[in-house]
Formats: sequence, C-alpha cells, structure tokens
Amino acid sequence: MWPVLALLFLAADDGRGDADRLFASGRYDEAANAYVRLLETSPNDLGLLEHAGNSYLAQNRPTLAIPFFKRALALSPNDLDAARQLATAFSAINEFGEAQSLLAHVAQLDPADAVTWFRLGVLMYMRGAYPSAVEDLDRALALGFAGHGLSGRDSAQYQNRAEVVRAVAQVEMGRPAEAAKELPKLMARPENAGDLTLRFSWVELLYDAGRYQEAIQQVDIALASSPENSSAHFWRARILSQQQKVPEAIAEAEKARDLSPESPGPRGLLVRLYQKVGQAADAGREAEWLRAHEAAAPEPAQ
Amino acid sequence: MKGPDEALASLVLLAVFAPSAGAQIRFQDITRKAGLHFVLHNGAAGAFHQIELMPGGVAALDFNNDGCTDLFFANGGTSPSLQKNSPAFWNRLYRNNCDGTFTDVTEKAGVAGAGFSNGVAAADYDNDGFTDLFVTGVNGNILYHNRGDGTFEDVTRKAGLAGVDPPGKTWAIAAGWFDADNDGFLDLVVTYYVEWNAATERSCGTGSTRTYCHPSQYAGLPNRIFRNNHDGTFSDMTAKSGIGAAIGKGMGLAFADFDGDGLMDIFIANDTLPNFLFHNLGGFRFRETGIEMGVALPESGRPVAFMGADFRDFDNDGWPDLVVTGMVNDSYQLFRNLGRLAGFEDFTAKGGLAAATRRLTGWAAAFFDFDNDGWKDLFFANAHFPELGSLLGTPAPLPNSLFRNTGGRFEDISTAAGPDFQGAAFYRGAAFADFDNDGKVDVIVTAIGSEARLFRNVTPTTNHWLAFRLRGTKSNRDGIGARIRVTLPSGKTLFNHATTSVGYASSSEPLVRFGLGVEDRAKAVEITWPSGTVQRLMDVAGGRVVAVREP
Repeated sequence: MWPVLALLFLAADDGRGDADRLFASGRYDEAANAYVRLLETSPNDLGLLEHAGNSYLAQNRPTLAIPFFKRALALSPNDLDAARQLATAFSAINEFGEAQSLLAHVAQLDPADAVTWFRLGVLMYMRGAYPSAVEDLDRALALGFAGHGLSGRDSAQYQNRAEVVRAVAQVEMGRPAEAAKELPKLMARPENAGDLTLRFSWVELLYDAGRYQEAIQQVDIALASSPENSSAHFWRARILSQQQKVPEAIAEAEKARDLSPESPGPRGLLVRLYQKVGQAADAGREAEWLRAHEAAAPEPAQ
Repeated sequence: MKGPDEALASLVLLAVFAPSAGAQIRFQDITRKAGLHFVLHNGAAGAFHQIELMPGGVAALDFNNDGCTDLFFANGGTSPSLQKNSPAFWNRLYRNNCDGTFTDVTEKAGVAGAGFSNGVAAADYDNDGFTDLFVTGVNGNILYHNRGDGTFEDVTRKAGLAGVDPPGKTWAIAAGWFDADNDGFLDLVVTYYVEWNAATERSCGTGSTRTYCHPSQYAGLPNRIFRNNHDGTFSDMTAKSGIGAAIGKGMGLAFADFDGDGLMDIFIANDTLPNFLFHNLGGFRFRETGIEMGVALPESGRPVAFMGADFRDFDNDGWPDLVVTGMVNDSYQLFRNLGRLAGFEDFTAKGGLAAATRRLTGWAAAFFDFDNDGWKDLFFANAHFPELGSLLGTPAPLPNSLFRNTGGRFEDISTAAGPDFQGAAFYRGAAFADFDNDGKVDVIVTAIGSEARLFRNVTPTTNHWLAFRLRGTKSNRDGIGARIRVTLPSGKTLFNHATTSVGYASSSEPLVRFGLGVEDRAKAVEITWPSGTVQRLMDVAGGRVVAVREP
C-alpha cells in the first residue's frame, strides 16, 4: 500500500513541478497540456486553473485561457490575479466591455494598486474613452508605481507609459494645452525616442494648431528612423497639402499609398490633390478604389 | 516692394475685410417667458430601440404670414409601437404672437400627427403663399397642406407620398424642399436611415448591461426624391434620378449650388458611412460625387458618424462650404469649397474645429452670422449617446457650442455665450430665425426628454444687418435656391442663398440674411433666381427685411 500511495504523491508533485518547469522555460504549449492533465484530477485547484490560463495567454491564445480564469473566479470571486488575467484575455480578443468590468472590480477591491489603474487607463484609451483614460492614469500616477512589488526598472517603465498614454489621450480628446506641456518632455526621454505613436500625437497637435513647419520636422525625425513608415509619409502629405505644396504632397501621399495600399487615408487625399492639379483620371481611379473599399469594408463591430 | 499708396490700400483692404470689432455673441434662454413648453419624447422604456435616438426636428416658419416666425416641433411616439397615444407625443405648432410669446395652436391647426415623428421640412410647395409642412417619421411621413386659415390638411395620400414602401424600409430622418429642375415648383428629398423592425432588432450590450446597437447592426437604405407635378401630387423619381442607387444611412441634408451651374445640389450626411454629394446634372438626374469632391470622408479616410449639416459660404469667396457634425473622437468636419468642380479641401484643422470639437457629439449644425459682422459663425447642438457618458467618464448631456468666425477661421466662444447657454441636455434639432424681429438670429433647439430651448440672441452689437424675403414668380414662390450677392460700400462682398434645410432634420426661416458689420447699407445686391433671372438692387439700406418680388 505505501509504495502505491507514495507513487501517487510523487506523481502529483512531479506533475506540477514539471508543468511549472515547462512554463518557466517558455514551453507554454506543453505546460498548458500538463496543467490541463493535472486539472483532470484536481478540477478545483485554483493555482492550476490560473497556471493553465496563463500558459494559454503566454501562447497568445486568449480564447483558450478564458474558461480557466472564469473557473478560477467562480471558485474565488475576489481572486485579483485571476480577474486581472481574465481582463487581459478579454482585451486580447477586443471584448473591452468585459475587460473593463473586471478591472473596475479589481480596482474596487484594491484601490491602492497603481498597476490596475494603469491597465484600466490603457484599456479606456483603447476603447476611445479618453476622459476616463486620463482620469484612471492620473490616479495611477498619483499612487505611484514604486512599492507595488515591482522592480525599480519596471516601476519606471509603468510611470513612463502612463505618462505617454495620458498625453496621447489628451491630444485625442481635444485638450491640446495640457498635452503640449507633456509631449515634448516625454519625447526627450531616450526610452521614447522611437515611439511613433507619441511622435505622431505631437504631430497631430501641431497640425491642428497650424504649426506646419514644426510638424513636418517631427515627421522627418520619424522618417529618419522609419523611412518606410506609411503613416509618416501620409502625415507629411497632409502637412504639405495644407501648405499648398501640392506636387510634393502628391509624391508623399503616393508613397504612403504604395507602402500601405489598403489604407484609405492617402487615397482620399490623393483624390483631392490630383483634382487640384487637373489629373482627373488619376483622381477618378483613386475615387473608384475608395468606393470599392467602402463597399467591401465591414462596418465597425458593436 | 509696395509703394506707400499701395501699402495704404492694403491696410484699408485689411481693415475692411477683417471682422468688425468683436462683440461677444450671447444668448439668453427665454423659453419660459415665451410660453414654450415643448418636451421631445422618444418613448424610451429601457428596451433600447434604435429609433429612440434620432428624433428632434423643429421648423421655424411663418405659417400665418403675419411676419412673425412660428414654430413646429416633430415629436416621437411610443417605442416600439410607434403611437402618439397621449398628448405628450403630439407634434406641436406654436404661433408667434409677435409680442415675445407663443401660443400652442396644435389642435386648432390639426397637426398633432400620428406615429413616431423625426423631422420636419417647411416650404410652400404649391405656391399658394402659405407655408406647408412635411413631417418625417418611422414607417410613415405626413404632408400637411396649409389651408391659409390657420389649419392644415393631411394630404399625404392625395399627394402620392403615402406607402412608398413596406414598414421596415421607411425610417425617414430628415426632409428638404428645393427646386431640382428649376421649374418653379419645389421638389422633395427625404433621407432614410436604416431598416428597422422591432420584432427582429437584436439586443446589444455587455453582459446584463443593454445599450443601443451600433449602426452596423442595421442595413442601410436609399434616400428618396419626389418631383412636384404642379397639381398637388408628386412622382417618385428615386430610381430614375440616380439618387436611389446610393445606399447610405441618411441623416441631415442640405442644399446648395456648389459648382455654380444654376442647379441646386444635395448633400446628405451618413451615419458611419461616407457622405453623399449628389451633383445635379439637370433633367432630374443626379450623380453621387462625395468621394470625388472630397466631402465623403474626413482626411483620415475613415468614415465617421456624420449627423447634421449646413451648406453655405463661410469664407465669403462665393462658393458654398460644408460643415458636418459627428461623434466624439471624430471632429466635426469643415469642408472648404475650392470653386467650380475643383472639389473641397478638409479645412477642419485649419478652420479651428479639429481639437475643439473632438470631445463632442453633435447633431444640428448651422452657419449664421450671429453678431452681424459679415462672417457666418457656427452653432452646434450637442449630446453624446446616453450610454456613452459612463464609458467616457463624462456626462452624456452636453451644452451646445458656438464658434465665432474670425475671418475664415473659427474660435470656440461657447463658454462666453452667457450662463443660459451652458445648460446641458440631449440636444438634437435646431432652427434659426429672427423670432423677435430685432435683426439678430435666434435659435430654437430641441432636446430629448427636456424642454426645447429658445435662445434669444442678446449680443451687444451695433453691427448692421439686412435680410431678404423673396417672392418667386417664375421661380418657386419661396425663392428657395436663389443666390444673393451683396456688395458693401467698402467693396466687400457677401454671399448667401435661400434654403430652409439647415442642421439636423429641421427647417429654418426662408429669409436670406446678411450681417453688414459697420456698414449700414448695401451698395449693390444681385439676386440670381432659380429661374435664371438676375435681379439687381442698388443702395439698399440695412436694418430691415426687404421684400423682393422676382421680376
């Protein structure tokens, strides 16, 4: 009898340890399988459920992760880790409403957790709810990221990203004055030098304010590091168009179109620009493309 | 290098063309004092039917020809059963008593209506001298003929405008009157939104939280155009005209002759789809040119939720421009007309609207010169969708917006427009007229679930003004479509045209107004009637409404 029991315990221990080792070594597929096998005998083991979910999340298979986190939360509704991870999984499949509910729940249970407010802020930014995003990120920044079990480096990264997303959200929600104070400082940080979202946000602000020369300088900085970036060429085309530099704007819009043929923005601008210079046939061709594109494009989902 | 005379001339020119000293535009809410107590009801009862989002048209019209502008409000109904089963859902007609007050004459006039109404278009379609009404709605529209004795007759069926399609295909939002073929009688355009059927409408939302569905959940519809047969009836020209070939999700509409060929063209704002600009080719044929002309999409190339529109010249270059409201995160769009078929440029950022309107959701939009300085300003009726407020973290009801035209660019002056102007609500339609005949344009705005507000223009200004009440003879009697060019003694020229189709599902006074700034008269006035007749008036004193009969 004893040897059999010993084997069983040994098997259980070994199985969990093996799964953990697989996960730690980045073999997430095998780790997931191992955790799922273990769950057959221990279906209500909170740790196993979360490990299984995390293994699928690590493989970027959020739909497979969701049932495990849901089971974990059903067993332990106040399990903050499970709720956070489930929110991550829902975010990954664009179920932002579900993710928001979960993170709000976590924030309610642990209001001093800056990381949760940060994640909620980023989520709200992704949903286009910029005022909420700014509010949540303000809260995260006020709490500060140090002392939340994060390394000094991680904490600094969270701080930086929170400031970046907040500044970009301020541009998007039409608060240029606040954003204008933050953006140059953020772009001056070495870690943000290659952040094109941040730079284009600054470009947008300058463009809206009619500061075209400064805007084009920023686009040129982006192009120096990413010469094949379609958005950068499109921004350049828009700015040149506003400056009435039509041939140059056409050249840039054509570049943007060629680099990103499925993007409607450069095509729409080209219709206008070609018409300005009397290239009716070219304008007609781009208009035709846009019509076909609009007819085929699925409308945004609910 | 300029010589001294040339430099002086430039300075003088600059002084003349610069906006006159800026009086702060201010509005005062006189709703109660005026005796108005119209509440727009959408019948919402927690089931989130899409129709509940869209009502709110209002018309400013002089139905009894007493020179004082009256009001007609389109009202919703029960949802989803589409009934006006209580007076709360009635459409309402208020007579302007010419003393600053209004009297509800709905019952006497016989215009309480039926069903679930959305919008209204007012004009004299039979040239009998009395303004008629067309009321749009879900699964049914109504044409009211003004009998001229204070009452109206429902002539929808008689006119051939009833039952053009089965229910589910006839959710009309806005309508507008214009003379498509310049034959002297007004034709009718009706915008249609989406196929809607309560029985098959899906539920939307997250978990147990229900919300209104995104427009993508509904199939779009073609708009419709009806030709006036000169005998009180209309012919459906939707298919033959080319209008019906374009499927959209039609919202606001506006008319202008954008290419100067003497034929009025049609702009229709589409929700989440590219806008339509129907170029009038003559012979009751239209070609949809929104993309070619650059007004279908914003510069990003991504269609947004376009709502209301106005189509007038804001930069005094003689070419009608376009403004279109949209949804939060997508700025309201300003499209500047570059001239005869040269297309439009996206002037949103340059015009000062990009950042300033990005946080707003807008319905009605209109260009009117509220301070009479010679530059048309902008008014927007605002409100987020109800459930959007909690997502955005901001209240869903919004105050309206006012942008002053500072000479071809706009400046947001909403917060300085007076305390009454700061009130938030679920605003929708708006109509514009000088209700108290003081020469300044006032605004009436509807709001779902609360009282429509009458904002009296109390701008402290001594700027001069001039308005024209047109009477067509060969042209349609209201002169709709007439283009007017006013030349001031300084040489400055101003442009406007006659239209009642302004904003969102609404109808404004047919008068054509001009702010003259510091100049008290027009040196010359040129009216190009829809018939092609060009009429010239010389040395016209300002500060009055000039009645002009087509020669």
